[in-house]
Amino acid sequence: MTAAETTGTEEAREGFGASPNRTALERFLRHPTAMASTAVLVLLGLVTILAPVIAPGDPMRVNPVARFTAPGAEYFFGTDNLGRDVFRIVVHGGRTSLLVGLVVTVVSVSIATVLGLVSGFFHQVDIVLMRFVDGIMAFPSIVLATAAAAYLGASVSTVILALSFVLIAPSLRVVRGQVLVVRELQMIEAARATGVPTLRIFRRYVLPAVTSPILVQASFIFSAAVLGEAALSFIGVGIGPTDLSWGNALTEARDYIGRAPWIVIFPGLALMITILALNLLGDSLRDILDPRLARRR
Amino acid sequence: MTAPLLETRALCKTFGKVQAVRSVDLALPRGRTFGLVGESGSGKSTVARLVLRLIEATSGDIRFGDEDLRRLGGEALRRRRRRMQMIFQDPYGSLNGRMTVGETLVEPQLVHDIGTGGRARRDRARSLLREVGLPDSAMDRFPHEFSGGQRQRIAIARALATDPELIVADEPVSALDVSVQAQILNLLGDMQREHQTTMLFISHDLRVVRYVCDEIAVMYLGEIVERGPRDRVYDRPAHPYTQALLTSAPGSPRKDGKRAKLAGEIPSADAIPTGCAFRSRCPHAFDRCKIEAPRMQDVGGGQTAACHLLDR
Repeated sequence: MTAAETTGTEEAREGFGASPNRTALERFLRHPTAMASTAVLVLLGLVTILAPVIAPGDPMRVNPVARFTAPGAEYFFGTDNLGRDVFRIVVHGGRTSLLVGLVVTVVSVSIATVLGLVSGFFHQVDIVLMRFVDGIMAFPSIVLATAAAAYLGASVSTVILALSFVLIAPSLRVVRGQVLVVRELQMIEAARATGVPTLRIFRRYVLPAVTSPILVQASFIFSAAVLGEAALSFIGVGIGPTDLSWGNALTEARDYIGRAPWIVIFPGLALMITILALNLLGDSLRDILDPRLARRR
Repeated sequence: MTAPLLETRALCKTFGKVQAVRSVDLALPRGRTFGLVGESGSGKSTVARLVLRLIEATSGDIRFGDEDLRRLGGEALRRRRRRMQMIFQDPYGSLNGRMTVGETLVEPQLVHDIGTGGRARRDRARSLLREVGLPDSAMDRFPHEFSGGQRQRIAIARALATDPELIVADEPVSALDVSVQAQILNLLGDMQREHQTTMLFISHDLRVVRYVCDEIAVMYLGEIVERGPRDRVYDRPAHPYTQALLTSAPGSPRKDGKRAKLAGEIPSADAIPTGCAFRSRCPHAFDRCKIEAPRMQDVGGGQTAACHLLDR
């Protein structure tokens, strides 16, 4: 999902078509949890992408006559205090939630990968970066993201920026740790002895070797980002009130939790299923890609 | 005789308190195989990495051809690597498991602008494979599909890909089964002769070194204690350490018991004995050995050794 794509015809052989990875793919296909969580995530993705088809109409449209309608044939998930269709809110809100999750994951993991490579190879940079990372991680990330979001103002891009910043730190740790292991491998010394330029060593030797842990990390970052967006939106510093997301839906619903629990339950359930699927995927990826387990086969 | 291809002067390397290499002078004649022998911990692998500048020397000079290798920076050094390649001990670790054999053999050509275009480079890769006795079909396979000996053949082919003047082979057969060792040694010998390559061959195994090397230097605790043409050193070892090594080597013809066996372990390189470094294990050590470090002296026939006994 990250920068593992290589370009050029000569290098096309590398990557997931390569045989060490093919076995990993085979393991993936035979791993029930991995497949189930992937299926759930693909389904969620499809539903949100096809939102205008699955739940046509403006999700923000109010219908005072139909306020607090219980889930039923007309409104699958019921309606909220303004008579809005909760099903529509959940389906359309998922777009923002998953989009934020995806963008934050790609941005933070990519940056962390580059910084981690540099940090693992250049000691001076490492000292500075790691103190910085310690600083960020010593702080509760939600508080930090809240501060950043509050300072920048509520919007989708703010949330993405704040969460990306906060989530770089843990990914950077993972990548750097892995790079420190890989750089000691003899193939790196052999490549240097051959005269392979440093950048190419990064690209052809180090990056492929750290891809697996990065993938695992990415799935956890994804869930942290989705949850982070919900948390920020819930406390009112996330995306603006005019935008829809699961977090926003929960905020507005919390006052009516006693009277119309479905307003809370359905967005909450969507959030929960997403997080669960992502975490299970991360766990199974770790099992599948763990080199010790791989070698045991 | 022409000037040596590789020459070191007073080459030193310390890691913190550890003196891994202490004032090593080497001269590798062109087109010959030069053996560097010693126990593990003697600093021979460090010398290999120093002369290729995979690690930086603490002090001393390295001359490669007619230039001062230690003065070369970044890109100039990288380009120079075309002319000096290395073969490692571990054929499992020194190849990139995610690159096919073909890619592994194309890479050195690619990064040194050898050949034009992918097709020419792949053709050359195939001819290199044939040269080391592997079929063309190996091109699209991955290192893990090969045995240790086959992988070492791939590593040799990679080293030959740039047509280097110098090949440093660091224990190239130590990780292999004995039955395979001879094949790889023969291959290395053939390659060296055919390409007129200069080779620095590093090993702890005296039988192996005798088999492939023209000249030999024996290292002990970071120093060269004896050096000379192969047959001179094997037939008439001048230094007690060399004598002991030859006696303790399995299959050694000298089992008459007249020569002392090598007792004890090599001392730690951060606690090197004063005077002669070998005196703590030397059966002939006397007072002078404690005080004064012996100098290299000529013992005839191009052989030199550093031992006070030679003054007696």
